[in-house]
Amino acid sequence: MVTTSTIVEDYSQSLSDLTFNSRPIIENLTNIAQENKDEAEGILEAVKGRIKKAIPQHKLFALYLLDSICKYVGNPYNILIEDEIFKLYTEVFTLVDDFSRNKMMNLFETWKQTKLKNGSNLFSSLEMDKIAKFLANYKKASALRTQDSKVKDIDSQPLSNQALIKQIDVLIPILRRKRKESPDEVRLSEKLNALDALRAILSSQKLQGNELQAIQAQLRTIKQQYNASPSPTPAVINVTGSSTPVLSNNNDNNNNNIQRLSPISDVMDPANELFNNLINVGLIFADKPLKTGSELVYKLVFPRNKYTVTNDMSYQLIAQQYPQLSNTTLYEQKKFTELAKIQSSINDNPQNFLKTYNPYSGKNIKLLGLLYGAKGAPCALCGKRFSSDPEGKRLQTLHLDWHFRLNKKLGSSGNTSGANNSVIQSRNWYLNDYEWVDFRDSELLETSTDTNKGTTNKSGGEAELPAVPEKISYVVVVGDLSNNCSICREHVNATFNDSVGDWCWMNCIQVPGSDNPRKIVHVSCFNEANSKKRSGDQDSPIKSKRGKY
Amino acid sequence: MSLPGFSKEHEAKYGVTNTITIPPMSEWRFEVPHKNIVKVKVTKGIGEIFGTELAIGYEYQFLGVKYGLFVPPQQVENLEEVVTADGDEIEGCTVEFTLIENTDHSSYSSESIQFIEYISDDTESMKQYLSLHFMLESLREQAKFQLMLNRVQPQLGPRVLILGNDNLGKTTLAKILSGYAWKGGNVPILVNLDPQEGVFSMPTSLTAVGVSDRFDLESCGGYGTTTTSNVTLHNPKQPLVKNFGFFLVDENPDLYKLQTEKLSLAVLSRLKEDEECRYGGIIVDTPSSLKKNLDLLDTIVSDFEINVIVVLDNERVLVDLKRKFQHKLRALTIVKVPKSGGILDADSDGRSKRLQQQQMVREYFNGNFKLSLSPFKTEIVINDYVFFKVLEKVEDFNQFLPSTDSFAGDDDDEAGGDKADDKLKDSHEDKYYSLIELPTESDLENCVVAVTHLPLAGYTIKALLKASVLGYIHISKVDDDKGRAKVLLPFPGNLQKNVLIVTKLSYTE
Repeated sequence: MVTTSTIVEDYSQSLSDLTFNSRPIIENLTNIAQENKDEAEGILEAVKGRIKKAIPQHKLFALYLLDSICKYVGNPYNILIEDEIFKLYTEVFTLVDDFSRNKMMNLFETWKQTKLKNGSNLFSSLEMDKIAKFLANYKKASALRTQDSKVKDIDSQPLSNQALIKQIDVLIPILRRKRKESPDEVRLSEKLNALDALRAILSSQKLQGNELQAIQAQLRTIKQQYNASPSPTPAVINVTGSSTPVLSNNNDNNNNNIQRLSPISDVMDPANELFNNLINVGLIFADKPLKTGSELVYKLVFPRNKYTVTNDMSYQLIAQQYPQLSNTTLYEQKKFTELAKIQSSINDNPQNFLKTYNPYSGKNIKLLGLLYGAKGAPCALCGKRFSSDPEGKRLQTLHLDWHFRLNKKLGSSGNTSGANNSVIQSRNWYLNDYEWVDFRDSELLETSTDTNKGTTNKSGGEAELPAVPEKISYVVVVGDLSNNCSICREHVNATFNDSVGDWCWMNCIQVPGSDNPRKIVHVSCFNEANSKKRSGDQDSPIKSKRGKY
Repeated sequence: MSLPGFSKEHEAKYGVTNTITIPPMSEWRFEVPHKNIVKVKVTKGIGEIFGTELAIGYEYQFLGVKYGLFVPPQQVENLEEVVTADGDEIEGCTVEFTLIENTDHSSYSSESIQFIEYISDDTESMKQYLSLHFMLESLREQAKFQLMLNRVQPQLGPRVLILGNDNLGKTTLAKILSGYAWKGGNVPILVNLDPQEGVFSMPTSLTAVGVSDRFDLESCGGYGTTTTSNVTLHNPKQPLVKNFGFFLVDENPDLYKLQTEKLSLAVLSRLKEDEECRYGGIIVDTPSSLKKNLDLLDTIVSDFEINVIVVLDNERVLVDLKRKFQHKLRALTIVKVPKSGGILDADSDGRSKRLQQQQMVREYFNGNFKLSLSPFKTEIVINDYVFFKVLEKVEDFNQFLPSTDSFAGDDDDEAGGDKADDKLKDSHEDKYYSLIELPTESDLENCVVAVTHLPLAGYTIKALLKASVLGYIHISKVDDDKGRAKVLLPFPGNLQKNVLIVTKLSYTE
């Protein structure tokens, strides 16, 4: 048997361990207090002594213990301490720093809300009013002080990992309690683990400002929710009979009004939301196979360095919503899913990834397949692949049309005249910097709706001209009626053409590649000049193959 | 079985069609001299050459190439089906090839290279190139979704720079990476900074081009054509061309630096404005000398906002780079990949490179066997135009001598100019180009001349340095007495009155 004094002695011994906000210690000490209600007075003395003697930074934790004992065990502790609670509270309050004061105000809020098992209040309303009045005075005094700096404080205060850790600390107990309540819920444990790990990241790694801000922003939203309607903390306490104050918050607004109790679902929402946001910002990676009914797998993403962290965040932000995004094709979704699997190992160590990754192995073959089978069967004529989703089908149709047009065009020219005189084709000039920057490659493709694609640059208009049969070639007069052929220098006189309804230089074409509408050549001169040039190459065996295609 | 040049050489007889089956994850490597043409037809399976898949049943014609036809694992074609080990079915890619003589170019018969082909299963490099591609894809994907998170500033896809020695396959890797990127649904900008290559342009140029379609393996260099006045069998591409004028960076590093900077400006502007290209990023192919000139490399890395450097098979360079870019390593990933096992260093005299350069000029004007182009021969009055020439890096005193032909020709550029000279030169715009005041036969004949975008009227050197290339002409004959020159234009018409720059690329028809 243990003697009375031994228990109290041990108890006060253990109290000296309370130099940080340790849930296990507080829980343990609360349990001891519950088991030894006979020693209530001695234990309370010890706790009181601890609160008074501890250095200011540690006072809060002892106060939490007291709070825990009163809430969890209740009678006789809350009755015994009731008379002194105001004194204790105010004493501590005046000695501690602003942060702890906020905590204490939160603590007080919970006192007001908490009902014991028998339905009575934690402390008598008389004592509570005294504390309320005290706090009101304090707030009035500090309001003046903080008013000016408040806005600045919130915005300019450099976000630190510490601050965020504290905020996460708030959520962990909520989740823990929830888990205790329904141990079957696997996801809760997962979430909890994830939060723990996130906390580990925050305490071990330096994150970028905007990431911190992202997290902070989410936390702030939750805080606002707390302010707006529910007061989740008391509700949790009420339901579970747990002890530790769970809402820690350095936002003064939080304490301005008494909040009503809220249903449990509301309580869980912020936690879920934060968790989702953590996923969204990429600190927790949720991999969900596209199959229905498959479980989400949570994994922590350890940022490799500042640079890619930003990328990770964006990437993961979309991770969840991705399949729902309407403007992505099936192919893109597949690609996204497959790439997500290798992302972390790439970010981890790119060199190692290159050395060890086996694109041929069974589990990676899908990613490799994105370059082949996933894009659909290759075009029989040129080997180009089009994905099997609607967008790919559309492009494929355009592609086949293009083959058809092309074959028709080349077939007719190739068969009728061996010399290919009817199609004169020359290389275009290149673009200048500005044109090139504004140029869009889609104009070059067969899938472009503009049939003249590939020729749409400054000398673009020439495309049709060479195809026009010789006899009806003409150039509509611009300026003076008389002109010269640029090749033979012969004089060309304009004639009025009825079918055109304008003055024309007949049998002439505008010089391809020239902007000057007055620069013309005879079609015959043009063709002659070209065939002369080409005749030197006629013997080439490769050249004569041309008709084949 | 696969000793290059031995086992199968005797089989490759003219006109005989050979059928081979290449097992998955192997590569059929073949080297075709310019004096031969090889016709290749894939009859079954997937075969790809440097990231570009071949069509089944289409007969390709290659000459003057060193290609590797890679066969991916069979399963990639049909992902849903479980591939069973069917003993009767021979997996892989079946190819028919026929070697014929290229009767067109008798001058090529002096070539020492023979047609070589063999199958190799040493494809570790391909594996890593694929992994590298997936790594870049992952970065592209990240960039794509950055926009959704942060709507203010769109993120660019990866900017990759490839470094390595000569003949290690830098250009091949660039081709593979851009080919795959295109397959993945992106449009990367392929930047060629190696003036010895002509990428959609003449050698001596620096180019940037959006890879919006497959490469045309049959064209010279295996890239494809630029736009023409009519439709082409293969979709053309639209490059931006900057003139460098030399084959080697060392001949005028200042001009090189200037032109790469201008090129990077355009490329990054394009990337920022063009949603199609933005996520594809940039793939930069470099000359081998760049790895020695770390300061120049540093400039290029900054100019193109490079964030991935790929070193080909050189541990030493990797270490050097990591040291050099230590301050940037947070934003810069440097990785090493092996060279392909198919690399042959047979071309020590650079002869086949020169042959290819000649062929490129030819193809620019005349097209190739698939695409017959009509250039235009005409005469110009030399005095109607202004000719500049690219200025070799010279010792300072030479700068102030009349810059006629003989002096510049005799200059020995290995002196290199010391730092003080460089500083002095910095104040001069004429360290890049110099005006040929009285162009004569020896200045112009047989030269390929770059036509700039800068009109003659009221031109300034400053504007000339900014101007990119409009196209190329070839001067075949100069008549000093009459002051006229016979020129070959890419298309019919008069040569527009723009400033011309004579490059070091010569060509005889």
